[in-house]
Amino acid sequence: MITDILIAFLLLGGSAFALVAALGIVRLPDFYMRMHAATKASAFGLVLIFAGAALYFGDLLVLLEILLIVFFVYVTAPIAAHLIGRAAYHMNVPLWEETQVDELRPRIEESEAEIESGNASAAAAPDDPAD
Amino acid sequence: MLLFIPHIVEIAGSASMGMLLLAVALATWRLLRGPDLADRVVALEMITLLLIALIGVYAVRTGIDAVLPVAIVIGLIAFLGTVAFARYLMRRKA
Amino acid sequence: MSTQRSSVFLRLWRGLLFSLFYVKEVVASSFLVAYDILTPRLYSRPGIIAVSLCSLTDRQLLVLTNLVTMTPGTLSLDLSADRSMLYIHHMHVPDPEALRRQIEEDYVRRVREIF
Repeated sequence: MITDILIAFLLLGGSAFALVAALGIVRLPDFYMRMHAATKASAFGLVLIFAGAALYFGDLLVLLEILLIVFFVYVTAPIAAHLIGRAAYHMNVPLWEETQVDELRPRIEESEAEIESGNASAAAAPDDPAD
Repeated sequence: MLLFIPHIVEIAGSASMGMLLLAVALATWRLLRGPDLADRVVALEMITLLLIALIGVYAVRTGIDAVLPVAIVIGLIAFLGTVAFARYLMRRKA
Repeated sequence: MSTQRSSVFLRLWRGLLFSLFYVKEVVASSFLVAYDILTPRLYSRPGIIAVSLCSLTDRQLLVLTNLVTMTPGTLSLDLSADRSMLYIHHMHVPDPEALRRQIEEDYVRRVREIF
């Protein structure tokens, strides 16, 4: 009885977070902020929903499967976000005009100046570490 | 009010399925609209996350736990797809 | 501070504290982002700041970037070629200097102590 209510609460809460994330993806003004919504709020909603599912089945094997799903999502979501964010920034996807500071732009312009001056080794370096 | 309690999980399951489908619709709007390719990739990633969540709700709603491995597989493929997309974006810029 | 010499139990204890910290940050960040989306006016004043990392190992770096992406309004965007700087997109940047200090002290220090 109590668990049923808790399960219902977790399912509804999780989908509410997913819905908020989807709203965010529609409403937020620039790509980077949309990414905040897409990675955080939806991953959190997913965890809530699967916590509800784990409670519902109450089975060790199912619990292991669910732990695997949640762990997997929590490890891969930030990596995927980082890769897309970096690619987008290098492609000059615009920032919102309210953006206060940008300490990355000078750095990239610096490395692009190095490419133009024919410094091939320095040009190749920025792409390697995170790949 | 008390009448609802025996079916509370079913009701919550149906309601959250509806909310998740609405979320998929919103993300699809972003997928179609863009404006940048990167926006579309993020929308696509979001849709796969929502699909994984939908599978979780579906498992509860029907009581079939055999669908849960599907969620793992979708997560894996989505991750590889996103990585491939990110690399493609970096390539295209160079 | 010497992580090499500290006992297994101390590291386990710190690991436990860290996971609690992680969960707390994830929950807080989710509510913060959700609040910002739901209120009609956007309070967010985003920005990209550079945080210096002095010589973290690969594992520490992985945990740190993961933590940064999953916590309050922060998203790790890029890493400098010599791995000394992490560029973070933040949703609320009223004061870049204070934020930089907070991230360096809160996250980088914690991650270095445990992993």
